[in-house]
Amino acid sequence: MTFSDYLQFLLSGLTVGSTYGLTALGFTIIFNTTGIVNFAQGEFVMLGGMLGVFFLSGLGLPLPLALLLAVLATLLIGALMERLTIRPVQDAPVINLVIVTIGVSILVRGIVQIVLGKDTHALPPFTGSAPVSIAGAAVQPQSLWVLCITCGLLLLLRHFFSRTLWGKAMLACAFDRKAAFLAGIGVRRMVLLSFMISAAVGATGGVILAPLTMTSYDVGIMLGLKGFAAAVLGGLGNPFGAALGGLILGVLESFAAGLLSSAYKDAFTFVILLLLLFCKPSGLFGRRGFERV
Amino acid sequence: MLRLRNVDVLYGKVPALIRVSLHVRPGEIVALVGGNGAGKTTTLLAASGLVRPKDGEITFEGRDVSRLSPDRIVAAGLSHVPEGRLVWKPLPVEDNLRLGAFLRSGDAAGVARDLDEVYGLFPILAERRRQPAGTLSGGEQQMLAIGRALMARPRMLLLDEPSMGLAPAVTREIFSLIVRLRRERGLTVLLVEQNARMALRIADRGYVLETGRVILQGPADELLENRDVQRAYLGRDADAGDSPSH
Repeated sequence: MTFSDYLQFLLSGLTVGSTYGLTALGFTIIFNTTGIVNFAQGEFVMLGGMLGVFFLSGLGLPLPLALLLAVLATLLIGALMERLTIRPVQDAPVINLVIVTIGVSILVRGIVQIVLGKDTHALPPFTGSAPVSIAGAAVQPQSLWVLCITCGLLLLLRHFFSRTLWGKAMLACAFDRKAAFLAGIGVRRMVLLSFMISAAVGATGGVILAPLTMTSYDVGIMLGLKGFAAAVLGGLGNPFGAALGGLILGVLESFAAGLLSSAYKDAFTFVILLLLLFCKPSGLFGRRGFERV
Repeated sequence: MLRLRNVDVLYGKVPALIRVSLHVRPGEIVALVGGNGAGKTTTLLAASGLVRPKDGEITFEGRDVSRLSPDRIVAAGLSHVPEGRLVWKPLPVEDNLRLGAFLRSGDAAGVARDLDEVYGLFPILAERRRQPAGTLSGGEQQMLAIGRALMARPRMLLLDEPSMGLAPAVTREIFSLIVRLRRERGLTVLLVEQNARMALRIADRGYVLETGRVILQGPADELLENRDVQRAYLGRDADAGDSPSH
C-alpha cells in the first residue's frame, strides 16, 4: 500500500460519500420541518438516475437537458407524494406517517420496475472518462463533478436556511410548529416545500453518481438506508452534520473495502450505525450544531 | 370585533367548550378567567384556527373565521400570543421578530419600521437582537412573543397567560404594556389569565369560564366585587389587599 493508494481510497470514498450526504441532507430537510423520517428518500435518488437514463436514451434528449428534467420531475414527484400521501393523514402520529413513506417507497420502486424495466443502466460521464492523475491517484473527472456539485448544493442550502426568510420559516416550523401557525407561516406550504427540496436534492445525488456506480430500479433501498445512517451519524436534524456524516461514511466504507474486503463494505456501514446508536444516539454533531444553523 | 356564538369544541369525545358565547368590542380589554382546564386556552385556539369548533360561529370584524386557516386569520388582523411564549429558541431574537412579519414579506420598508417600533417598546430586545431567543429570561421571552405578534400588525391580540412563571415586578411591566398598547394603538385585547385579579384590574369586562362553560360575565369591577368570583378565583382575602394573588 502506498500513499497514492490511500489517496485513491479517500477520493473514491468522498465521491460515494457525497451521495450518502445528499441523501442524508434530504432526510434532514423533511425531518426538520415535519418530524418525519422519510424512507422514500432513497427512491428520490433512484428516480434521479433512472429518469435521467429515460430522458437521455428513451427520449433522446441531450445530456444536460435530460439531467435537469430528471431532477425537476423528481421534485414534482416529491410534491405529489406530499399532497397525495402525507397531507391527507397529516394529523396522524408521526410513526404512521413514517410507515406511509415506506409504503410510498415500495410503490415507487414497483412502478419504476414495471415502466422502466429491471435492467441496470449507467449515464455517460459529464465530461469524458479519461482519469485525471492527482498525486499518483487516478480520479475520474466525474468524481470531481460529484464533489463540486455537492459542495455547491450544500452552500446553496446553507444560504437558504440561514439567510432567507423562507428558509428560516421552515426551521421555525421544526422548532415550534404551533408558534409557526400562530405567526401566520403557512406550515402546510412549508411541508410541501420541504418534500420538493428533498426530492430535488436526492435526485441531484442520483444524477451525478449514476455515471460512476450504475443505477437500477432497486438502488434506492441501499442508498436510503445508508443516507439514513449518515443522517443519524451527523445527528438527525443537523443539515451539515448530515452531509459530513455521509462523507465520513463513504470514506470509512471505501477504506474498509480497500484494506479488508469489499464484500464487507455494506456491513461496515451498519456496524457503525449500530455502534453509534448504542454509544451516542444523538449523533456526532447532535443538537448543538443544529441550534447554530 | 371578535364574537363567539354557542361554540362547542371537542377533544376526541371530551367536550372542552360547551356553547361558549362571548364578544370583544373594538378597543376593549376583555379578561377571560377561570381555573385549570376551564377552557380558556381552547377558546383562544378556536379563535385563531388551531382547533376547529364542532358547532357554533366565530366571527372577526363580521367575517366568519371558523373555517379559515391560521395564517389567513393572522392576515385578517388577529394575532395570538400563545401560552408558554413558544419563541423559536435556537433562532436569534431578530429572526423571531422578522418571522412574525412573514405574511408581509413584500413590505420590507414597513417591516423595518415596525421592527424599530418593537425595539422601541422593548429596548432589551434590541440589545439582544443577535442572541438566540432561548438565552432570554422568561420575561424577555414574553416580550419577544408579544413583539413577534405585533410584527404582523394585528388589530386585535389574544394573550394567553402572559404572567405565567414571571416575577410580580415583571408581570406588572407586561400588564402596563398591554394597557399602553391599547391606549397608543387602539389595540383590542382578549386576555386569558390565571392571575384573575390582575387581569380584571386592567380589563373593561370579564368572562368567567368553568369546565367549558361561561358561568359569569360582566364589567370587570363588578366581577372583582362578586363574592363567588372572590372565593373561587381571587383568594379569600380578596377585598382586603392590593397584593397580586397567586
